[in-house]
Amino acid sequence: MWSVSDEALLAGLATGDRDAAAAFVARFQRRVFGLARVITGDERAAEDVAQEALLRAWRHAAAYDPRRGSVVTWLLTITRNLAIDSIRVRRPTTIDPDDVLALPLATGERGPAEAAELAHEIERLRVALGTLPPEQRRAVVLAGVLGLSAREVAEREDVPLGTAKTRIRTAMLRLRALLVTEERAE
Amino acid sequence: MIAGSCDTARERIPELALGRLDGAERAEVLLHVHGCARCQGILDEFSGVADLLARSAPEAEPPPGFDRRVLAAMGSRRSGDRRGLRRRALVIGAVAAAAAILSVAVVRIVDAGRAGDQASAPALETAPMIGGGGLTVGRVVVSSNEPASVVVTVDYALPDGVYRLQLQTNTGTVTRGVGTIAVTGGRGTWTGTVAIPRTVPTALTMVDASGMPVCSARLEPA
Repeated sequence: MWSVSDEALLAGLATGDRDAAAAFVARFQRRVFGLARVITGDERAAEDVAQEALLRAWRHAAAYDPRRGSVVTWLLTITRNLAIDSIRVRRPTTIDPDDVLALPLATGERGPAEAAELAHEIERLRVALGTLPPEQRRAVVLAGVLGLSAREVAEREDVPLGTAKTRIRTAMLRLRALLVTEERAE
Repeated sequence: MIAGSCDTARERIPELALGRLDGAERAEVLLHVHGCARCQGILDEFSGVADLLARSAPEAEPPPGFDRRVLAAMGSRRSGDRRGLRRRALVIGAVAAAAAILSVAVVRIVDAGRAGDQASAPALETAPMIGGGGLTVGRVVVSSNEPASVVVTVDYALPDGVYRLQLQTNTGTVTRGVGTIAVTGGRGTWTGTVAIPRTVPTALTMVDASGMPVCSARLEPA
């Protein structure tokens, strides 16, 4: 079951297949709940957000567009939007972006090979992030991990919108240069 | 023929890959990328970086029974029991702005209860806001009292802009000027009180500046 790709699992979910639904939830529930908990800072709110994110993925599985990113990115984008909406009235996101990547990455339901591969990739990412100027690192973590828009990054970092956009874009360019070049060399 | 220039597209590709590009800008870049193999390759590389960033988000074990509750909710929604769905949606704190919506709505309910003009707090009903292609782009929460407290939230697939809210009954009566909702970064929320006809099905619709409906929620009679 775990060798099935994320895309194939989502396709099964779109057809209403119960086994695919169970496998989809088992595969992604820790990522969805973990992200929701980091953003909301509240266990109960995170559970509500995570449940709705998975239900929304189920409802819109047929509308998934791979051109807009992988299944994980799509699902975590849904989760981020829901979590950010849920805290918007209560309080701003308080977690420091520099603390986010220090949190543990559980191996969850993955097999040992997949867990090792993901751990390796995350380690490369963390090294690459460490080479960025702090303001660029914070901006790209806020946007790429916590899902804030450029405008929200600007408000959070107290900089003009254009500066926030430049920081995100420059950080992405540097990460791409570091990670993709390294990948080609391997 | 390739739409737009490579320079313009590449300027926006990092944000597109992060999923932070909305509406017309996103469509414009996608249109270009679709016809430009080089930019498609660049988008793929940036998508790989964005995917890795997303995967680096910390994981956590959800509470016991979480997976069973999600699968049960999928099963019950598949059954088409819409009335049950609305009740269940409230119980599970379903929708996007769960805390935001419910905090506003609950405050209104508590206030109504304190006023003593009702034996019990009004019920809340949730209806999906459906846009083009049948896509759920948001939701509407309506209280059962009169005039109803209404919260409209959209968070998916709508271009940024200001939209007008209007009511239309299935008998054709239209109430314009219910309110306006600003969508920024793909998201927007409106709260207010509205006199909703309770005897016939009624649609609460968002219309754009040109008067075209962009999404609508169907409110069933009580």
